[in-house]
Amino acid sequence: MERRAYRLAMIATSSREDALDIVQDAMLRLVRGYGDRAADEWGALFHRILQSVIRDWYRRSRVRNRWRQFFGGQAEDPADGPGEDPLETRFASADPGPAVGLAQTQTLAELDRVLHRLPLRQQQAFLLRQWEGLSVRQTAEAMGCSEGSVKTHLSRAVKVLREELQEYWLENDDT
Amino acid sequence: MSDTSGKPAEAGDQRLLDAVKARLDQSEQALDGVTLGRLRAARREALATLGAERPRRTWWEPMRGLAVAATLATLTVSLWSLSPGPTDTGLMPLEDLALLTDSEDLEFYQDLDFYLWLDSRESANGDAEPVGQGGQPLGRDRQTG
Repeated sequence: MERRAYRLAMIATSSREDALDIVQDAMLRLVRGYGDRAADEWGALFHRILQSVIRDWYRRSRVRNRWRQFFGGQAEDPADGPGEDPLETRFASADPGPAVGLAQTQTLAELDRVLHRLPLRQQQAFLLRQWEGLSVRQTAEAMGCSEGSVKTHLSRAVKVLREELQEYWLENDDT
Repeated sequence: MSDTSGKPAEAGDQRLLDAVKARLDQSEQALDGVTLGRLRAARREALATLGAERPRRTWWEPMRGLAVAATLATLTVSLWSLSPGPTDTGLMPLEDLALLTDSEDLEFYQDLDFYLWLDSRESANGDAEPVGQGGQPLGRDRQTG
């Protein structure tokens, strides 16, 4: 459970320390808040808590970056620019597209980069639905939104991934 | 791609998504030893708190919540009833400003109610001039400070 949680947090934060903190925080909250629940309920509860902790991290990062930029510094993470809401805004990478012929060892880093730069809601919808295999309803519960929102975010996320990855990755990926 | 099922349906998309999923699965299995050790430690720490930090629920616990709520309600009502009325509150800044800028003795303001009452009585009796501090007419008293 904690491995995948760490990867989810790592994709969201791009920071190993933050990801570890998020996972630890989520596990502690699960045990403290729901320790008396049946073990088979823990999976769904943990997803919900984890996504909530990740959203909190995003909000704090936005505020921190806003203040950092106010005092003349630079935002820590380009996905957390002060002028946009990473929870809702559309993917807006300023980077050039991925180079054709990217070595296979780099594909994971490239995938992480593209996923990380997705707006958080799209990222969550995609990873929970496509990787975790949660149903739309379970994903909506974990994200704290409606099922319609999950579908919309997922659709947009797949569109971005298709645009960013499909042309070169499927040709170069032999897995 | 379908927007109603919440799952992309196009064949090209599905191939891409399968590849993405496979890569993510690989990444999960390829975590380094240090990270895995820290994750295991976090898990152990969380499980160690199970039962240790959760206080046992007792029958009087809901009563305690009610008692706190009742105390807060009583305190709020008491403070509200003791607080000055809205007229006093609304005039406070201007009164403060007048007190700070006027050269009148503070004692004059402390006895202001008395002088106003006296003034109203004098006016009701048809006398001409209100009385100020020390029995002086009010207007002249304030001018001389």
